[in-house]
Amino acid sequence: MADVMAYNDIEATAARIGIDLSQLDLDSIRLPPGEDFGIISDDEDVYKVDNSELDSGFGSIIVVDNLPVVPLEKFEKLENVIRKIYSQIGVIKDDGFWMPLDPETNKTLGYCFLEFNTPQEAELAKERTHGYKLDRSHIFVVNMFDDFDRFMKVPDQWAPPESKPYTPGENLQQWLTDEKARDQMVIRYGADTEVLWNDARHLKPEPFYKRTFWTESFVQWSPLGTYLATVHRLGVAVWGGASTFNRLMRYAHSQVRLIDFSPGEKYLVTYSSHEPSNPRDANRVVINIFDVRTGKVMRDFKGSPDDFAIGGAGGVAGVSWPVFKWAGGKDDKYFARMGKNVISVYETETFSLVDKKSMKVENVMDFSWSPTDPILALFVPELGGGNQPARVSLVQIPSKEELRQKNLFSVSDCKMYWQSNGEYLAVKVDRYTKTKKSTYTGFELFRIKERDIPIEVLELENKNDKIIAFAWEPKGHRFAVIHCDNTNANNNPRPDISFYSMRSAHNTGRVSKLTTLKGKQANALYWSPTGRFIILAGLKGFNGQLEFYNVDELETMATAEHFMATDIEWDPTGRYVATAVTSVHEMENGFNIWTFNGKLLYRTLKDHFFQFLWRPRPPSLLTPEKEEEIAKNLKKYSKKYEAEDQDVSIFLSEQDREKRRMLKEEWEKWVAHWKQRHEEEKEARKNLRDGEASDEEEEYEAKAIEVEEVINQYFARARRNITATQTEFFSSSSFRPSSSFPRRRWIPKVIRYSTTMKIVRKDYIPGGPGSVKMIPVESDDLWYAYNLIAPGDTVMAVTVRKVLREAAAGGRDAERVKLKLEIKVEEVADYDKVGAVLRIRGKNILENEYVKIGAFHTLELELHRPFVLRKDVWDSLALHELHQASSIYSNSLSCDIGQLLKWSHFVSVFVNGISLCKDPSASADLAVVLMQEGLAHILLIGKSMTITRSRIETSIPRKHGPGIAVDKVKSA
Amino acid sequence: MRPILMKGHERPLTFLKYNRDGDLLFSCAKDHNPTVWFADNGERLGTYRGHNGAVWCCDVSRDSARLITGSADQTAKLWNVQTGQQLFTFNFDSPARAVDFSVGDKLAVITTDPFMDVTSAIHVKRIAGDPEDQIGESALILKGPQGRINRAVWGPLNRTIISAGEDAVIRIWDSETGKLLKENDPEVGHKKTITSLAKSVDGSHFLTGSLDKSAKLWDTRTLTLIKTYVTERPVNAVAMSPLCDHVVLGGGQDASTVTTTDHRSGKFEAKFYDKILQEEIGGVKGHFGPINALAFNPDGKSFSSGGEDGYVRLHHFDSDYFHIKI
Repeated sequence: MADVMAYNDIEATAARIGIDLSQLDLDSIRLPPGEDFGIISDDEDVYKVDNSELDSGFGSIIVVDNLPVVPLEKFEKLENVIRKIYSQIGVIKDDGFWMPLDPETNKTLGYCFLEFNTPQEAELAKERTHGYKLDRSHIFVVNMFDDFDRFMKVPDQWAPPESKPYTPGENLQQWLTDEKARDQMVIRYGADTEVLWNDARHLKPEPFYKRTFWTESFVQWSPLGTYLATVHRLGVAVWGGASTFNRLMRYAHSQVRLIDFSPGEKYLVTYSSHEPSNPRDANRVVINIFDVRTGKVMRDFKGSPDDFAIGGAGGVAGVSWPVFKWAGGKDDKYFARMGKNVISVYETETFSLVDKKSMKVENVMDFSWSPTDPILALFVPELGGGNQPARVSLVQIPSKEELRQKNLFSVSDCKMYWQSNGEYLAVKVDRYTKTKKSTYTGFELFRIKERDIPIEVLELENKNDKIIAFAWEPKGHRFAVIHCDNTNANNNPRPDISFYSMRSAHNTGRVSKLTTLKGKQANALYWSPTGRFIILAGLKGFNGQLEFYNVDELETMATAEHFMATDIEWDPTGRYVATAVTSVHEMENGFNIWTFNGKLLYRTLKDHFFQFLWRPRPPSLLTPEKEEEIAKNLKKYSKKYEAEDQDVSIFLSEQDREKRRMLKEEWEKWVAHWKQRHEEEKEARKNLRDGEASDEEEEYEAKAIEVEEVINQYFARARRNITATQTEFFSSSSFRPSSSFPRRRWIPKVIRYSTTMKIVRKDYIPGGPGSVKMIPVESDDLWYAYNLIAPGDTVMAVTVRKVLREAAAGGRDAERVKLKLEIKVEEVADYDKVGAVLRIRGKNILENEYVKIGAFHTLELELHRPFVLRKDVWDSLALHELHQASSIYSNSLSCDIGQLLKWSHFVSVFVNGISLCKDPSASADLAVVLMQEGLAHILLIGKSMTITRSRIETSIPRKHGPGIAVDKVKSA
Repeated sequence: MRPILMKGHERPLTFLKYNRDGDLLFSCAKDHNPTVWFADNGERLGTYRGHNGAVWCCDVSRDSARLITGSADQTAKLWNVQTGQQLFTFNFDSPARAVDFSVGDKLAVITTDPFMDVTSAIHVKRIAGDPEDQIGESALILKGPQGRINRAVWGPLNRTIISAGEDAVIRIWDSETGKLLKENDPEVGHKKTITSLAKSVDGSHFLTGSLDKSAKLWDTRTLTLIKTYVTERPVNAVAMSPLCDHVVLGGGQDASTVTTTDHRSGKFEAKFYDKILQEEIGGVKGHFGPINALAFNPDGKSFSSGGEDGYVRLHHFDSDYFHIKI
C-alpha cells in the first residue's frame, strides 16, 4: 500500500469491488486517526502552502455583498463610499478594488472585491463591517474570498453524518508503565528538542525521542503529562503516543505566542497579539479556546489588549498570562477572567457566562481559584481614600455566593497563595505603617475546609521583616517563608527562613512556628511535590547555592552548589531534582540531576540550553488507604527494588571495569609500539646529537667501585641540596615513572648534611637565659628554627606591618611600615618549606610608634634575614638543636650516622638512588646504598676495599607505589 | 602544596618552557621580556631584553645554553641562556609565533603569522654551533595553511614537522622536501582553532588543545586520533605529565568576554585528566584570567601555569598526587 498506485490500478480495483469512482466524493473520505494506510502525509507541505497562499494569494481579499445596485454614472460615488469605509480599517491595495458590472445592464452587480495589504487587515475588515448598515435595505454581508470555495461546497441537502466505528487509539500514558518507574523530561537546546528518561541508576539520561526544529518557540507538557505541546508560527501541535511521539492534533492559530492547558487537559487556550498596520490603533489580541481532543475552536475572544489586561482601576499595562484562569479539578468546568470592575466566569458546557452575566466587583485587583474546588478568592483594594476598607472574599461558583469575607485596613498590596489541596489559603498582606512611609507584612490564613472558614492572623516576629518568598508544602499543612530585615532587604546577603505549621502540637486549629533558620543564602523555596523535603535555593545573586532540608526532622540533609543555576524542578514523584542553567547565562548551560537528599547523580552540559521540564504524572489512582498500606509495608516492596538496584550497580561496575581494562590494554599496546619505535630510532637520534648519548638513557654506567666518582660528579652537577629533612621529597621521587618513556637507570641522590645556619652572636649560659642572633641561609635552617623556637621565647626581627593612620582628610590610610618588633612567642604557626618562610605568632613586647605592647603580630622569618632568639632557659635540647643547625660540615660525606638515623626512615625513602652514610658499626668509612628499580646493594667502602654487604632484590609490581620495596629494604 | 606565585611579567603570559634538567623555567609574555626563573623556588634569574613586541613562544636547547624566542616584533632571537646576551636575530616580514629546536639543536622551526599581504609560513633555520657563523637564511619555507599557525614542532628524528593552528587542521610535513605528508581526518579532528600542542617526552604522541573545548591525543607517526578530552571551556594550553598518565588542560572563557561578576564563572582552572581513561581527576584553581600556558617539569613533580592575569604559578605536587587512583 505504501506505493502510490497508478490511476488505472485504482480504477481496476474500484471496478472489482464495485465502487463507482465518479460517484465518490474524495473529500468525504476520512482516515481513522492514527492510521495513514501508508500514504505519506503531505500535511507539512499543506501547512506551508497554506501560508504562502495567505501571503501572496487571496488571503487578504474580502467580498462585500449586499451593496446597492447602481448604474455606471453612480459607480464612482459608490466606490468612494466603500473606500472611505474600509480605509479606516486598513490599507486597500492600489488596484485592490474591483466592482464588476453586469455587461447587459451596465449596472453593478451588488458586490465588490477588496484587497488589503495583509490577511490580518482583511480579517479585521470582515469582522468590523459584517452587518454594517449602509442604509436600511443595504446591510453588508462580508466574507473572505478564500471562504467562498468552502461555502460553495456545502451540499444543499443535509445528510446525516456517518457514524464511524470506534478505533481505539494508542495508550497515551504508556510512559507511566515504564518497568523501571523512571520519569521523563524534555529539554530544549539549540535547535533540538529531546525527551529523555531520567535513568538515575545508570547515572545518565537515556534518550527516548529527539527532533530538530520540533518547535519554533517553546514546548510545554499538558498538566497530566499526556501531551507535549509544540508552538509554531501557524499554531500549536500536541504530541504523544505509546512508543514515540506522534502528532495527535493541530490547532491553527497564526502567530500564537502563549498557550495554557486547562488543569484536566481538556482545553487549550492560545493567545496571540498582532501589530496593527495602522500605528494609531492598539494591538489586537486573539485568544482561542480549543478542545484538545477534537481540535475544534470552542470559543474565541478578540479585542484590544486593554480588554484583557488584568487590574482594576489603576490598570496594569499589558496582558498578564494566563488571561483565563481555570477552576481547579479535573472537570475543567469553569474558567474566569478579570475585566474592569467585573469578573467573568464561564462554564465549559456552553462556553458562555455563568448566569449569562459577569460578576460585578468594583475595582477588583486580583483573583485566584482554589486548586481543587470552584471557589474564587478576590482581592479588592481600599477605595475612597481609605473610607472603604480593602477586602478579600471567597466566592462559591456557580452560586456566586460569598463564603467568607475579610476587611483589611491600610493595605498596600495583597498576594494570595493556595495550598495545593485547597485546604488553606494564605493571603500575604502588606500594610502601611502609620506614617505611610513604609510597609510591613502579615498573613491572613484561611482554613477553607473547616466550618465557617476560620481566619487566623500571623505576624512575623520582627515586624520590619520583608517577605522574599512564600511556599506551601504540597498536600501538607506547613509552609516556609524567607524573610529578612526590611531596612536592607535588597542587599541583605543572608535572610532567615521560617517554617510554620497550620497545626500545633496540641491544637489542630492553631498556627505554630516550627523553626527559624538564620542567615541562609537563599531567595527561593522549592518543596518536594510529596512534601517533607524542601530545597532552599539561592539563585541569581547567590550563584546557585542549594540546601536540601528535611522539614520533618528539621535538619539539613546536604548543601551543594550548582553554579549560576537559574531553574530548579522537582520530578513529579519527588525522588529527584533537576537544577538547570538556561541560556539567560552565556556559560555553564546545562542541567544537574540530584537525589531528593542532595546527592549529585549526573551532570549534562548543553550549549544554548533553553528549557527543562519534567513530564508531569496524573494523580495517583490509589486510594489513600491503599497508599497507607504500601507505606506501612514499604520494606516488603522495597526489597525487590533494592535487589534490582544492586544488580544494576554490579553490572555497571563490571561494565566499567571491563571498559577500563580495554582502554588500558589498548593504551599499553600503543606504548609498546612507541617504545619499540623509539628503541629503533635510538642510533639515529644519537647521531643527530653528535654522538651524545641520546635521551635519558645511559646517564651513568655506575659500578659499585666507581661510587666515589659518581658522587663527585653528582656534586658538581647538583643544583639543589637534598637534606635528610626533605623526606617528603624522596617519597614522591620514588614514585615510579610512567612506563611510556625510558627511565634513567641511575638517579644518584645524595644525602648531604649541609645545614649552615649562620650564628652571628651567641650570648647565653647553658641551662640559663640568653640570646642568639642568627641568619638562616637555607630553607632547612628555618626547619631548625622551627624546632628551636618554643612558646614563651622571644624573637626579635625586622618585619613589615600594615599600619592604619588617621589621614588629614578624616579617613584612614593603611600604610605598610618596616619596623623592628620583638614578640613573645605564643605559637610557631607554620613552616612553609616551599616558600621558605617560618611564621611565628605572638604578642609585641617592644613598643614603638606604630605597634602597642601586647598587640598581636605574626613574624615571618625568611632566608637571609637575621633574627634574635631569646630563651629563658637554654636547655640541652635547645643547645643540641642549635648546635645541629649551626654546625657547618665542610665535607658532606662526614655526616654523623647518628643524626641520620634520627630520621630513621631515611633508608626507606630511596628507590632510585644512592645514599651515603657513615656506618659506625663497621670499620668501613662509608656505607653506600645503591638502588635501582627492584634491586638494592648495600656496600661498605673502606680506605682500601669495597665490600658488598647485602644485595636485596625484589620485584616491584606496577602502580603500587614504593610501599612494598621500601618495606623490604627497611627490614634488611 | 602552596603554589609559588611568580610575579614578574606585566602582561598576559603566552608560553612556558622548562629546560631539560628541569631546574630552569622560561616564560614568555606579551610584555617584551622573556624571563628565566629557578624552577624550584620561583626566584627570578634574569630577563632577556631586546624584543620590541609580545613574545609568543620560546625553546631552549638541550644543554640549556641557547634560547630561541619568537616575537610579534617580526623577529626570532637566539640568546645565551647564561648571560642573557643576544646572539642572533632572524628577521621576518610578519610576527613570529612558534619556535622549536630540533633533536640535536641544529635546526629550528619558526612559524610566522599572516600579516598584511604575507601569508603564514613555517621556516626552517639552521642553527650554527658557533653564533659567529649563524646565518639568517631559511633552509626551507613551507606555506599553505590558512590563518595563523599556532604551533609547529619537530617529528621523530627531525624527519617531519607537525603544525597546527587557526584552521583547526593538524598537518605533517616532510622537513626535507617540504611536502605535505598528512592531514588529520576532519571527521574526528578539532572544530575550532588549535591553540596549543605538546609532545610527549619521547615524541611518540602529542596533545592538541583547541577552542572547541576539547583536547586530543594523536600518534605522531600516523596521525591517528587516540584520545579526546572534553572540557567546559575553550582550551588555551595543554601539557602532559612525564611521570604519571595525566594530561593537564588550561583555558577559560575568552579574555574579551570574561564577566566582571565572579572569577568562578570563567573556570580558569588547570584541569587534570587521566590520560588513558579520559576522565577528569582534578583541578588546580588560582588564576583570575584564562590560562594561556602550561608546562610540566621534566621530573613530573611540579608544573607551572601562566595566565592572562600576568602571573606564573608554580605548583609542586603533594605526595597525595602521586597516589591518585580512579
